[in-house]
Amino acid sequence: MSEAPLRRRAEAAFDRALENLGSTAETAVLRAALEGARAQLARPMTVAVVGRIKAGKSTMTNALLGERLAATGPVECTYNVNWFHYGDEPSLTVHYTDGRTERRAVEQLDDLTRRALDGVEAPTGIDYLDIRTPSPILERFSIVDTPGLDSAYVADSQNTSAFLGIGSNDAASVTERTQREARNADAVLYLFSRGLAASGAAVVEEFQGPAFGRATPLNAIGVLTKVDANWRDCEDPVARGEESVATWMQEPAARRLFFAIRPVCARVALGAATLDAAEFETIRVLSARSEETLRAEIANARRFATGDDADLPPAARAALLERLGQYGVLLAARAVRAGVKDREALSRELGRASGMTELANLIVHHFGNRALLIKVERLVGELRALCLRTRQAGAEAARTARLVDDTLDAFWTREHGLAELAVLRRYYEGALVLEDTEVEELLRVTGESGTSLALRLGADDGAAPQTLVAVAARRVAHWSVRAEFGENKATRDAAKTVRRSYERLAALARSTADDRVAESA
Amino acid sequence: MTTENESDRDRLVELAQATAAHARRLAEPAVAEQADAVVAQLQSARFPVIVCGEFKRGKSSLVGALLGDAGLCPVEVDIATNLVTVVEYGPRERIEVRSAQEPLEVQRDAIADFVTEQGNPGNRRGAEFVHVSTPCERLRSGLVLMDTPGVGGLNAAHSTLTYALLPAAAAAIFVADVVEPLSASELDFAERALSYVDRVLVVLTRADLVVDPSIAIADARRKLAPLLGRRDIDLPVVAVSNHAYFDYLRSNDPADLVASNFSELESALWDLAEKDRTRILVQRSARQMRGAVERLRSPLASERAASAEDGQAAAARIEAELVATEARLAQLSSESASWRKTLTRLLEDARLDATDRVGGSWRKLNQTFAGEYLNDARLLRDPEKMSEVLSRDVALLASANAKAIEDIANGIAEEVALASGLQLDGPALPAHDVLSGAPAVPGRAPGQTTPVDVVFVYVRNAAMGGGAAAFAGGGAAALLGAVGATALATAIPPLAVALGVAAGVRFAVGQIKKEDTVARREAIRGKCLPYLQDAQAQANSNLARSLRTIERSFVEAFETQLKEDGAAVAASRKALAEARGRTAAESRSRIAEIDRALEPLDRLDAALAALAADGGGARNAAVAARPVAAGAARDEAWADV
Repeated sequence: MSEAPLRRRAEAAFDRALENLGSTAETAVLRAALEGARAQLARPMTVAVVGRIKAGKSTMTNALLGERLAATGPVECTYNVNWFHYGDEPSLTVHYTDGRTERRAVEQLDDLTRRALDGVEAPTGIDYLDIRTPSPILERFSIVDTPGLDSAYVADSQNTSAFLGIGSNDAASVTERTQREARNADAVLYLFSRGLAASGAAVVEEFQGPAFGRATPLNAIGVLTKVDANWRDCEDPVARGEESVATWMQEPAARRLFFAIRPVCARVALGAATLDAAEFETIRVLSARSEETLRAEIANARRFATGDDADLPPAARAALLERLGQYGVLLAARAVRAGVKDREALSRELGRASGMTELANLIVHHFGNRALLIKVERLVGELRALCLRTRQAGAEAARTARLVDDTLDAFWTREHGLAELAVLRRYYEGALVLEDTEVEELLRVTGESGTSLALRLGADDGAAPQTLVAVAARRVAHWSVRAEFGENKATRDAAKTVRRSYERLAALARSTADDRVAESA
Repeated sequence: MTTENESDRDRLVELAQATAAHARRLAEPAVAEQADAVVAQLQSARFPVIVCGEFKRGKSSLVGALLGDAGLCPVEVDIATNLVTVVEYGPRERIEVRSAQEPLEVQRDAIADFVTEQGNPGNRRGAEFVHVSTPCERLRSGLVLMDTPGVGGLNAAHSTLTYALLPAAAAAIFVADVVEPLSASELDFAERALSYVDRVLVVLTRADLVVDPSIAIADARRKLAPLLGRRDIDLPVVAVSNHAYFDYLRSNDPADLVASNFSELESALWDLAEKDRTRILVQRSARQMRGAVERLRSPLASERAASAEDGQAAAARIEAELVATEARLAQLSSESASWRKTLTRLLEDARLDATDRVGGSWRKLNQTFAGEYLNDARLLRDPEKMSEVLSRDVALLASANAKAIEDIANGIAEEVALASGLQLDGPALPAHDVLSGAPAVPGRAPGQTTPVDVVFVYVRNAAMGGGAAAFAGGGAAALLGAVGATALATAIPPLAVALGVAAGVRFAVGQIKKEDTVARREAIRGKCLPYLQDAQAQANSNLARSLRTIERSFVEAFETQLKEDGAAVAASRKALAEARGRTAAESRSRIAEIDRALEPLDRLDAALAALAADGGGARNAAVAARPVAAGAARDEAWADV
């Protein structure tokens, strides 16, 4: 079940397919597609950050990166697509729509992406920006930060252009590009920064429609951003956010859209990661005050940043406030008061308290585990569609296309992981009729809760292999019955796949047991 | 906090009450009645202010802060308002949930069970709105706050109601915050709805979260002013912190007040809702009272002149003037008086103009329906959305019509006044008359009816298939206060139709089973067109009815004025005749009596003149009474007053 074999198997399949191709003109397109697909297998997962204008996408991106690269600010900013990939050296390359590329200094990213407040025009005709930086998280996945959309349904290019102050042609292409990135990404973070309405249905409505492709819990995480805006109304805004999220996720429509919704305060995490020594010192001074006192002092941003204070000059306070925001300052002081000694420790603590650490883990582990499978599914699907189209191009082309298709088909049917993925999709679409316990089993066996053998079987980590074999065998029996007596065809087919999953797990458990026996013999 | 205008109003009430007392002493019951009516109108004048904006922008928190009472409008982080809450002054706190049934009185802690989505999902409790009376000083002047559910959110019924209430509002407070810039849906709402409201104040909440709110303020102004057809400087935008204000209420620390910026808000609010309207009301009422006092004065003054030493000459002169006045009045009263012809002509012109305008906007709606909505896949699939957009458009059309009618009424007032030399301030109805035509609102005495009540009565009638109930006269005028009340009141029935359209379309489109887009489109077109046509027919008949009402009111007001002037002349002539018949000794003692009676009346007149001044006179009154037309630049003469 691990990634490397899957990737090798997929590469092998593509290689076999390429061998079947001659090098005629008709097959050139297919050849290019296969080569492109093979190359994509090697690339890390891509995560798209999507949402309304000013939902906090760039701050989120920066927080994930651990540095301030993407432009942020009080009014609308990004109107380009920004790709962040891992690179040993920082670099910035502008890709224009006419195919030109241009190297620029990374410091110019701000100017290039932002519509300047004083009305200075940024260059037009930009397709996207490619930014490289040695940020650790980029070794696990690449990030694409998109311009904002205002309306989830009709990504109205006129509205977008009104906001961003760019021509409606540019606006239309901005919108299209964002949609394309969302559709092609391995995982998508859907950001929204206010309780949109009272219900999960409202949140779902926000992200429905062709604009975002078919988001499913297989690759979609909702993110409630800027939870610190409510800091005055509750003790712990992130916890408060969790409560709201829990309510929204009770809505079946929300569960069909998002795997989870995480409340975060990206600004706090980013601020803590980019704190300088002077700012840390300011925090230390503030931590000497009681929480209650500090809360009262910081209640009004302007007063805090510009008022009188015996121990701290306004500049220091303003800088800290800008860095962390009010709630962030409170959290930081609390942490230092509790014993945090240096910036790194503070960054870790605030990363946790802000919800960002958990979000990053969710992306890397949950989605990371599945990303390759989803990518393979998508690539194979696109290639097979291309084969179908190529078969109409002429007799020779048709013959080779059929060969390629057969190769891909053989690969597809052998990959049980793809079948499991299809079942999960059907489940999230609401096509299956299952008991609650069966749903739990389905999610477990396909790895939603973890990919180890024990986790997939719902057994304890330390369980003996014989136990696991027995568990698996019982499940096989159960699902065999369901395969016969499921309520609809989709359910019966799903049951067959699940049965097969348990059969494979049983085989794996048995071979582990045999190994143990052999070892002890 | 008593403002200048509030004290003017209180003063005027005193003066009017004094006038009534004098009138009774002088055996002039008609004048006394008129003074009583003015007092009633001054005391019952209300200024409904609608507080609108998108969800979670701090609207309800702002209302709570303005009332100095956090408990009335639930503002928990997660809770969203789904009903209108109307808050006005009352001697004791009283909270009522209103619906088609008898009003239900509830305690404060039960409010959330009715007005929030969490407490009352989908409004399954069937509440229509919540009415709160509270002894809050800020409301004593007649300010009525209507806290609305968010627009631009997903519940179509919420939005439609907010649109429906707009013409009933004297002013609108549009709430956003300094942290999030305005979204397209908010700007859309602002453009569609707020251009029909003369007075808009933009409030940005959460100022405590940023160091410098001026960026957000400038951004909001830059985006909203063009949409509302104003120059940047004509759109007030204030950034506040509700939290800081609540802190201030607890701490009384001036620093908290400064941090909240509520002083600027209060001043902007006063400018918005009360300054102009109270001033107009005070000026108009003061002029009316001067007329009443003059009715009492002139016979006395004539008698005095005739009783003096050189009385004969004076009496003859006065007699001649009175005769001339009588002749003029007779001529004005006659059927063929030129003002009647002027009025008829103006109304005919207005009817043509309004019909054109209104017809044009309906055509546009039909085009939008056919060209845009019927080609929008999502609207075709979703009855809720289709009904939302259609009813919104109909509601806004009705707002436009209401404005058109109001403009007409005020324009005509000015023209006819100029042509005839009669001082009039538009169709003003005496208070005791106004509710005779309003539909009965169950469970409520006439004086307690609110604009929202009236809206819902019509809604229910419409929903029951009755169409817009026959609407007679200026029934809702008293509810809405000063200038243009009649016109605004006539807008309400078509709004009920808008809500009826919403329900009908939602049901009809929901019934369509066809899957194929083309077939669906045709089916929906077939189902919706009758509703639109019906709405248009109702609107047209309502326009005709409104114009007739305006005509009737004008004629009534003119004729009443003429009659009163006539009565004044007759009383003066009678006094003159009496004076002539006296001996010198009787005359002297009579003069002393008259002086004693005249002295307070002169003082009253002087006090009233002061209140009526500030650019007084028919011309300025008419100019002052004319509201700023949407899309036009502000009238400069008015701005200087």
